[in-house]
Amino acid sequence: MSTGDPERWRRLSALFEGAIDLPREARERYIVEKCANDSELETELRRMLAADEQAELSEFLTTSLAAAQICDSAAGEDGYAPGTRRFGPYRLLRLIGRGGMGEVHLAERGDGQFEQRVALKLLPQPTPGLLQRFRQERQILARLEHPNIARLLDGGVGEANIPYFAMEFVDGTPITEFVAANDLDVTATLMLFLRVCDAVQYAHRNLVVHRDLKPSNVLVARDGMPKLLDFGIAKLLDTTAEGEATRTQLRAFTPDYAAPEQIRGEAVTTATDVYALGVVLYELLAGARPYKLKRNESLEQAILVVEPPEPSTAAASTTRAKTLRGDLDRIVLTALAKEPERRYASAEALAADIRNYLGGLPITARGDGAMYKLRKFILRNKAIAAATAAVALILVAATAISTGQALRAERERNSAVRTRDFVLGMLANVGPYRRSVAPPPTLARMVEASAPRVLTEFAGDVPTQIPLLRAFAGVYLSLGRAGDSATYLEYALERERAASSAPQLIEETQLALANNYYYLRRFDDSNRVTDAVLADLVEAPADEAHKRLEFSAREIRLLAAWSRGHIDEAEKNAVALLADMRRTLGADHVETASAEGYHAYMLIDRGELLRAGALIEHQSRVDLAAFPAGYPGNYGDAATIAWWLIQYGDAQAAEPLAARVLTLRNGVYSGVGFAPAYTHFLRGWARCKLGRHAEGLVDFDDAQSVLADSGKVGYMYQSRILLHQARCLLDAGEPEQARVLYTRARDFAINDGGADTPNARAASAALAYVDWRNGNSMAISLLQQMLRSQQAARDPLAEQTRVWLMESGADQVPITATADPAERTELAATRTRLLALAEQLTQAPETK
Amino acid sequence: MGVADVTELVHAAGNGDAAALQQLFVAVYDELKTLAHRQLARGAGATIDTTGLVHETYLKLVVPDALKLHDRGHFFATAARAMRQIVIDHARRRHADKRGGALQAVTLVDDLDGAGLDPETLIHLDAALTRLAAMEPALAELVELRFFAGLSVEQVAELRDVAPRTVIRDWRRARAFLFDSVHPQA
Repeated sequence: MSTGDPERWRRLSALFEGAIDLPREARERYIVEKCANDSELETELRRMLAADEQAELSEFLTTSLAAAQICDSAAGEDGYAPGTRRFGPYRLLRLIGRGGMGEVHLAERGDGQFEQRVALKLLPQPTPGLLQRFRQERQILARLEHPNIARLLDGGVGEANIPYFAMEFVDGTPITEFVAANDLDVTATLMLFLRVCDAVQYAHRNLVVHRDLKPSNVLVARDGMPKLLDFGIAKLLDTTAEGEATRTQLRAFTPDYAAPEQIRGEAVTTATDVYALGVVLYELLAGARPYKLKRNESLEQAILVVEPPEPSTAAASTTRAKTLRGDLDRIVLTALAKEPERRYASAEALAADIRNYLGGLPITARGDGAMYKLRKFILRNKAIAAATAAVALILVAATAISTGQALRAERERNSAVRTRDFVLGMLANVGPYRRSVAPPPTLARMVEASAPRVLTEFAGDVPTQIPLLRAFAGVYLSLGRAGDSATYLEYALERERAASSAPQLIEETQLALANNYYYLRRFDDSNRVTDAVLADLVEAPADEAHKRLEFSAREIRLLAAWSRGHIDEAEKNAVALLADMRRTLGADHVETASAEGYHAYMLIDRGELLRAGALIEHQSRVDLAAFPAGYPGNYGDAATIAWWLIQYGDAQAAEPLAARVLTLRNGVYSGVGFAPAYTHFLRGWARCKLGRHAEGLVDFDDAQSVLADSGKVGYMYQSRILLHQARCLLDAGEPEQARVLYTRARDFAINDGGADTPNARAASAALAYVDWRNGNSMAISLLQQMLRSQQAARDPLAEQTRVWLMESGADQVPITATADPAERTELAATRTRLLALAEQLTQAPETK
Repeated sequence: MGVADVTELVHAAGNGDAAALQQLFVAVYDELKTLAHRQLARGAGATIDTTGLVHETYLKLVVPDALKLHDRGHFFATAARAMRQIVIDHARRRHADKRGGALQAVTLVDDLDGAGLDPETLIHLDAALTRLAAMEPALAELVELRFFAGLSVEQVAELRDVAPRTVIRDWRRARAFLFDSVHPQA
């Protein structure tokens, strides 16, 4: 090759770069054409191309010296034992397995310099085309780098021309044995299995299908980490054996875990792996394989035609059967569907549903009837302190009685007395708990025991029944149980309509219902109800009471749009609503101020901190004038200020403020519901920004568990909280955990509002970034694409994507406008004023 | 050695001051050794990601904001050059003293074979690299960054402010040249 002559080297380099991407034939033409009159150049170019190929195959310089291991031993330079069977740098130690495809040996690098043990797979019967394809496939497989996939380290041709693969050696036990030996419970088993799903999903994204997933290919190492073996080997073997007589021999799937399409010899897709995952999961959960063969029935027949029994019926213990019954049965059987298209579309979808199950959320593998969802909410119910219960009970009574007072005079006394008796009866019913060792009575328990009785005991007294139903709906909502709340509002609405109640009452109930639907992320239902109310109100008189109903409806409508990520629609309506409210109610009305609060959030998302700051200031002043110290709404204003401060870049000031708000809000809400969850989120994000990741992540976990308890899972920020939590994990050096959350955030966002929404885009960008960090350089173009759409839509998290893209070293992305000095001064002044207001807003209630 | 000193050394080394470069090697290498020992204390045979080491060293020696991106490039190039010298010196010693394999000291490069290369090949590689540097210095530096300092394609791309694709193409050219030089019969 040319040496020493820079000019000649440049020419050669240009030709080389032109040639390397060409397919073989085109390359040949290219060489002949470009080197037409220069045979020396042609020789050099061919030599360089050959060197490129050889270097790639021998992994020349691929392992950097820096990545070499350090060992403290004397550098032994012993020769190899005579007669040792060698494959490349590897020396066989012992046979560890034999299968349809060949032998597996434990081997070590033959130089004895350091202990790298590998599992060496030998293919004793190489066919002529094998090596060529072998090289092609190896490049794909070498890309699979995942903590839960045993790596393909090397490959080549060893003694007697036997091709070999060197795989990472995993010293572990098959996952089924591991689960049995460690007596893992269902949750621990599922957590373990999720890692397997993630690994399979990772491979699928890299266009590699395993085809032979089975417990002996999923080993769990001593540290509890599962590792998938033989990734892509099955596929490799199938392609290499194409059209050859060895096909049957080499198509070495294990019948026990084979999918129907594999038995039939049909196309194998990612759904095939989903099926095998289903079989493995079945075995892990039920302790048995799905098919029990009848006489004269072959396993293949069973796989093709027999519907497997539900795992719960195959479980050994009744407790296990009880846990499996329902959701887990559905999840496993969905993975095991005979038709690939009825299965989960991907390992990711299977994993998502398992996560739904673990999080107490409705699973997708099942029809989503109202009763089913209701049951999920009831199951999620957690104990609440007895003190809260007492307070809330008084509220129930008070609400019911005061509503009763609005009724006609002659009924009033009767209705109020009956309500009071009913509430006293509730207390009496839970009385025995007070002397027993059982946990203290919870409000939830009392409400659950009593609420259904309203339906029966007051069936003949609808005027009393309606306010009670509404009161129970209110209590359920204060427990964070929007689903139950909606159910009781539906009952109330039905009776109000039947009794031809005042239109205004019906509309109030409808709006409360719409509000619940939106908490439940049932956005279409919510919109349907608000639209109906708005249509009714068109004909109503334009007095203030009706105007306020209209404003409520419009507010729910736009907050629902905002929660779905339909930002433009929400923003447009927020501006219009705020203008109407200022005109009708006055600028200094508390409801107008509250509308300023969420408009401020929208402006913060757009980076318009000055305008947002002005709105928050005004809102805070109105609330401070209207409400006494300790009013919970004031804490909400302070939370908005904390968010503003974080976005302004002052996490230092935001963190203690969020902490103070959290203490106050926990006092008010007993740690239940969205407000405390959101405040945990605020403090957590502030802490992450300050580099206090570990503490921040604890806050995020708290936020999630409060949200999971409350049932308001869709309220405004579910995907947003996940995005920030994932970001915090990423900063804390946990990219794989971050990936899981980003995936969930994206699922939430897409489910709520579609892929064309800010949170979906942000999550997709983040996933692309994580992929890139995992070595997938293709992900950069996706990242670029996401940034373009984020910038076009003025997404709040676009800046993040830009920073990532810079990091990835792809094209420089211009920084968007920086604040001018005057604006900066004004922002600093706003910050000072907001901090002073926050001080006032977070005054504790005055003690008497 | 203080931050200011190191910053100054990096600048001087970047401007071709050989003595400064030498001093920087010493600073970086000592730091690396300390880190290696600490790592070893956690468990015999622990694998060290030396990229991380170099990075950690860098962070430790130099306040992150004290150097601009441009200087970071210099720093890593310099560190990579240091690694190359250390490695090659070591290979020469081992090559010269083949039977004296009782190197008890922990060094970063005991496992040259981890990269699939014996000392002799490394010495050839070094010579080829010098020839390559004469024709296209940036390409030789790329090999130092990738092979000796363990930077990934993406990291190099970031340092050089080019697309990863460009780095990969350069890498293939450099590697083909070196492979051909080291295996002339191939």
